[in-house]
Amino acid sequence: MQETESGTDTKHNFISEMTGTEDRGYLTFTLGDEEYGIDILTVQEIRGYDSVTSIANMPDFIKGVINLRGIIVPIVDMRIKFNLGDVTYHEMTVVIVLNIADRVVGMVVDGVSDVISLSSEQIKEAPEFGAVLDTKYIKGLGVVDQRMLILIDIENLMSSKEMALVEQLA
Amino acid sequence: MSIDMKQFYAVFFEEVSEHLANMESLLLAIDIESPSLDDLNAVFRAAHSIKGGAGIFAFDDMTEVTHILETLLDKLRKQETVLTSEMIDAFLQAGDLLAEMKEAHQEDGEVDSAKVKALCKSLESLSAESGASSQSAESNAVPEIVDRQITFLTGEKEDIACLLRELAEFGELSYSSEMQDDSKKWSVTLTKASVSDDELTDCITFFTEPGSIIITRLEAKEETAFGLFTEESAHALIENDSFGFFDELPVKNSGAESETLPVPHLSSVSEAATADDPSKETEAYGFFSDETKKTEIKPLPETSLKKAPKSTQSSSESSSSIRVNTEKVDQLINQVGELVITQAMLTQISALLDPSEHEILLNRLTQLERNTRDLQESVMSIRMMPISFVFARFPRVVRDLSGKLHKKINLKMIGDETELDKGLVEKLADPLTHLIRNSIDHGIEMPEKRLAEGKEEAGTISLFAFYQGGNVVINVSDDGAGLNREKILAKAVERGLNVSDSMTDNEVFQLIFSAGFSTAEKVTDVSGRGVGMDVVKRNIIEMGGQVEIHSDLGLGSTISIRLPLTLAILDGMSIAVGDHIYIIPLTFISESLQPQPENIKTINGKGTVVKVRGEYISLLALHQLFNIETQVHQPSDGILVLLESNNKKTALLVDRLVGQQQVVLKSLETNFHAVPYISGATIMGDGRVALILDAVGLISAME
Repeated sequence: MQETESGTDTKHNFISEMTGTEDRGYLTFTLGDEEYGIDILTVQEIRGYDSVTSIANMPDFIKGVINLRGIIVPIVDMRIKFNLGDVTYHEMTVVIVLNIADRVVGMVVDGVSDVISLSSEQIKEAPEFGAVLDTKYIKGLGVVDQRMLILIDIENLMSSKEMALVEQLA
Repeated sequence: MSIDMKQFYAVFFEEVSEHLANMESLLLAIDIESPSLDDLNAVFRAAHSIKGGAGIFAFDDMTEVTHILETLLDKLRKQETVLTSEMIDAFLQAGDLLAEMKEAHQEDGEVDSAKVKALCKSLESLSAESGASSQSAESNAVPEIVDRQITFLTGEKEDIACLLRELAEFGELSYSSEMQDDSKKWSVTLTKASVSDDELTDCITFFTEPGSIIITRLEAKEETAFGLFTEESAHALIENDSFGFFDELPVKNSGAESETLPVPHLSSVSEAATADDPSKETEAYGFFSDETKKTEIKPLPETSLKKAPKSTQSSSESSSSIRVNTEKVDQLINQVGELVITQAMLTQISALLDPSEHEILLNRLTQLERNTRDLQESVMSIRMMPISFVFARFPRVVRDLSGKLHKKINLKMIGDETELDKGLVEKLADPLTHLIRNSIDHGIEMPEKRLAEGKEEAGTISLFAFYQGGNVVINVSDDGAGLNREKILAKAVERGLNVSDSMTDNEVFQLIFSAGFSTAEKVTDVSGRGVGMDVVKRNIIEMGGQVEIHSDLGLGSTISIRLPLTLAILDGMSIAVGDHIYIIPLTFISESLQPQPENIKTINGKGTVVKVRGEYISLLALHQLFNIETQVHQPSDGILVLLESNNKKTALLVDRLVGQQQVVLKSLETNFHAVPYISGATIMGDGRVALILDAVGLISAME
């Protein structure tokens, strides 16, 4: 018991070093029953799901491309990708448009909740999950009141091979 | 701090490129027989500006080369020596070398020092030769030979060695006994110098403070010392030295210059200039006797007049354009594109309204449409560049190559103000260079042969750019031998290509664009390897253009390149498959047809072919390739679009044709990655994205 605690402590310090001691803003969204958080600075805008042009022979979670004020932006559906939530498209379907490393990508989620601020103390190390989301894409768990947020390292996730959004070098 | 310097580096490098390009075009335009003094001056100024800039940033190698270059140029512009074609060659080489150095500094590379030395040597030897020749030509060039005493009022000797060397070139130089360090005043005597006072002051003020010298004429009867044209020569210095980094200088300069224009003002300006050096004031100022004033001042207005228009011209040029990051321009174009789409949507919606009830709204919408269209046109024109940016390099190419091949060639360039998209202009350089090299090597015959055939000794290559519809056409013509149909056919048979005697001339000529095809009997280092023409064609097609050849045996040939005005817009045919709309670039569509069931044949295991006028063309069903659900399964129910590229054909089965339209090309790769069989995307009138099919990819998909 003692050991585990000290172990968490070092990890905790590690996380606070990584994220800095200041509070950070996170945009929270839901996928199925789970609540997720991403760094607010990666979010460009939030918009409805509308007129997506599909691209042939792509993985099913890549819904296609949209015209975002003259820019062609790919849309991925996280619900399909992670097998969560109801995959239906209607007027309330939300797309979070991210701007990561000068690339713009939209992701479909079940719903956007709010923006919250988390201090490093509120971020705990993530335990080993099931297979839904690889731990390497999880920054940690944020705890606010009774809610628990899964904080995603969205930059790594979106540029990962499995998202198939970026051309992978052999 | 170092970052700050880097910023200036970029400006300097850009300026160097401009100066070099300017220098090259001037050099190529110079008539060797009677070079215009203005041109020589301009070349000198370009070299001098580079030298100045290089000096500031301590690019010593560039300073060295430009200095030597400048020395020779200076002699030329002072008409001390006669321009020869060797000099032009050397100057051009120096320009190349400087460009290399610039790149080396830019990318931390290195320049072959042996090359630098060789060039410096050749320039110096030219300079020395010219020195010798100038002495023989001295008598008729500059008749005035005067002895002068030059007194220096400062003790600064940093550049004195250089200065003395320069002075020694004017005539015999002897040091006077007054040369003492403590008095900080010393003088030299220059005898038998064949320079005018202006030139001498020019030269001296280059090395030292303008106010710190006094030139005295040593004449037999009286010693008329004349005041220095301090202000004026300072102008010359400033003008030469303004690298464009310091905007204030030329402004101040021109202001001061206009002030010196009226004669009476000069003395006051000169007075002001001399006033800050009391020791000089007493010595120099007293010499302004009425008589000498007149004689001295005379040349001044002339020179200032000559210089004034130039400085105003350059300043107006610099104010007439601004450098903008292309990203910003592209962003602007995107935003305007978006506006156009929004406007189109509004128009679409307004069509549902009752015209009598909403008359005012509809009127305003029409106005909005007109305004947006105007705005779009203006914005698109920002990206447009005159084609002269590419053409400018060709005089050099022609000059170098024709010299190498001992041919006589004139280059004519017409319509170089024709504008097209910046991206296209840059991509055009390689194909056009290749075509011109080809014309020089294969097209134009040797002078003897031309004379024997009753043609003019010098061949002509003309570049002709003009607008035709929504396209820019660039013709590369020569009056050389023309293409030999028989020879091409024979070569094609030899290479096992599928040809027949019944082919039209155009079809035969298109063969020269096949990879590895060359009818040249021997391979030269210029061309003849058969690599190139296929690349030319591929490049042009990638730009969305077409290449055509017209040729008459013995009379010459013309290669026409037809390009869309901009890379960003292409003519497309929109087609539908199921619920999807795709765009096919019109340049690849040879025809569309509704096939008869009996013309469709299935080849076991090899797919389907369609018979079109006796030719069997393989058939590709787009809905199968893209896994799209559609009602059309039989080719005879849909439409076949015949795609053609590189003499290969494919029949693409689609549900129906929607219409022909111009589309704005967008890259998928900006935020996504390349997709097989898709070359890009565009935004349709309703704001949706439509994908543009990669016709070349589709054609090769069948192989």
